[in-house]
Amino acid sequence: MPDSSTNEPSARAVEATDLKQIPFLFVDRISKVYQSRQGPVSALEDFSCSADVGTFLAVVGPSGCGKTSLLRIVAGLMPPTSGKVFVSGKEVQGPGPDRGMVFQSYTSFPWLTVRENVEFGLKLRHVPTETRRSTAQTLISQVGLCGFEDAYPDALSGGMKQRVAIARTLANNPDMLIMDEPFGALDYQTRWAMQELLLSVWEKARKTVLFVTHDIEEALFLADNVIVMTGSPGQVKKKLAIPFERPRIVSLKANSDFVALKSDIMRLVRQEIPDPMVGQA
Amino acid sequence: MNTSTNSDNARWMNPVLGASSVCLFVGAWAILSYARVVQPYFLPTPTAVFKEAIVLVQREHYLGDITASLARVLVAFVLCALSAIPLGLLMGRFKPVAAFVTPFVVFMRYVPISAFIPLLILWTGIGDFQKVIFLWMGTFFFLVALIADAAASVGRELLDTAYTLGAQKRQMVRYVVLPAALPGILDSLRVMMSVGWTYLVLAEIVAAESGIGYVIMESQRFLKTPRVVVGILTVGIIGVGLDYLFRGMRTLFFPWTRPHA
Repeated sequence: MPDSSTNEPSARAVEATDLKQIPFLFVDRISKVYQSRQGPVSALEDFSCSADVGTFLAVVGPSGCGKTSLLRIVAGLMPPTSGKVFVSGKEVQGPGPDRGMVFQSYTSFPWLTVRENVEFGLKLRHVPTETRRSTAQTLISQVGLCGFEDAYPDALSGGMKQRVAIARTLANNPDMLIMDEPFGALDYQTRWAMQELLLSVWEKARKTVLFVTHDIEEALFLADNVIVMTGSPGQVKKKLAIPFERPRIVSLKANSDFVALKSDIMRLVRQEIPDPMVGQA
Repeated sequence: MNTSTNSDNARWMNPVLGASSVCLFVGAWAILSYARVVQPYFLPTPTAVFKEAIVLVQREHYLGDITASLARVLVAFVLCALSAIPLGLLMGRFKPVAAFVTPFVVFMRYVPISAFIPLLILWTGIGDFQKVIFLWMGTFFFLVALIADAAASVGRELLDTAYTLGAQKRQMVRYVVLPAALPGILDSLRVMMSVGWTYLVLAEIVAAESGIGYVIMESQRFLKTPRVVVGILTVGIIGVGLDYLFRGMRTLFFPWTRPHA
């Protein structure tokens, strides 16, 4: 799926004026239907959302609500069945380095060292070695991996591997970051540390972020806006603006307003989870 | 990671364990032969085999036979690798290629390769060319399947990651598939090398004027059992050497992987 969106001179001149007014990230009524052996399964239905440039949007929802489908569509890794996605005024038509993605599973290339992993995207575009080195070194120190430049991913902990993934994505200087439960496989304390680290990196880079998570507390702690999704097929249940000041530190999680907002969202998500007691009789 | 501590502790034990299994084997052989539990034409003593080896090397150009066999195996092996790696990668990454090639590859893998010896002799004579083609046929269809598997098993997440980092489709094989699959490919090559030696002896037993298999066959005809044993030991020792060479290459070229058994 090569990215053809970049080398498409404004073929739709008619829409050009409209495109200037749309938000930086604009997900416009997308649906996704998968064909399974049991027939069509709808993962997303008429889903819309948007994010302004430089803001942090988190999406929470019950398992199987189509969160990952949403991210894969925004990343351009698969097309929506209907609807369109615009990033920076351009319609998404395939994956590209303007939208960096961090996955839940560890995706460091095992045959490359930490430094080579971070340089990967730059190397694909034949950026000169010296530029590559210095970009990588800046990011490696930002994510706290100094001293591990020449280590192979196999020798790193899960949290460190995700730091490599974040640095590697940022090295491309993307317009936005797409993060699919990046801390989902980490233990509780590591997750806290990674959330703080992500915020500190984000404060510097100020990329637009689309962040999917199961963890309501995580969404609240990180994001400017949180979208709560319904169960399958995923639709927008509610969109909330998160008022807490930045920079945020972990103690915010004990703040009473934070806790109150968290329990509101928990209630919303809980409504979307089928009752485990039903159907057991 | 911590999971490897057990094997780290045992690492110094490995040569000791390996040597002791060899000693056990030679010991049992010595007892059975020196004590004449088994008659010498069936099982010669280690001394007889050792003397025979010296005679072979000094008077009968045995080193020439070894070189002939080695050359056949290595030439066939290189041809096999050069042809199977590209095709296997294509099969593993592009489904239409796999669909097109698979029936024939599977067919050839199931047909006993020795059944082709008469045909090959008719087509290509009994020279070195026939041996090389035979060895290539015996290994190619296995290797191509192993390499296709290695290429196909490159995780989708790695490919997706590369795409989101800006990789174009044409960059995928070079930057992701090949580096990810190379250790598996080297392991497959190691396995196919051993299969190659099996077929080599077969090829040389049927029709040859030189080579280790030829020596084994001639010696059996004249009941020179010690020579048969020399031949077997030669192949085995070369095999162990090549195997260690492959393992060494794996740790040298792929320091990021842990070796497999």
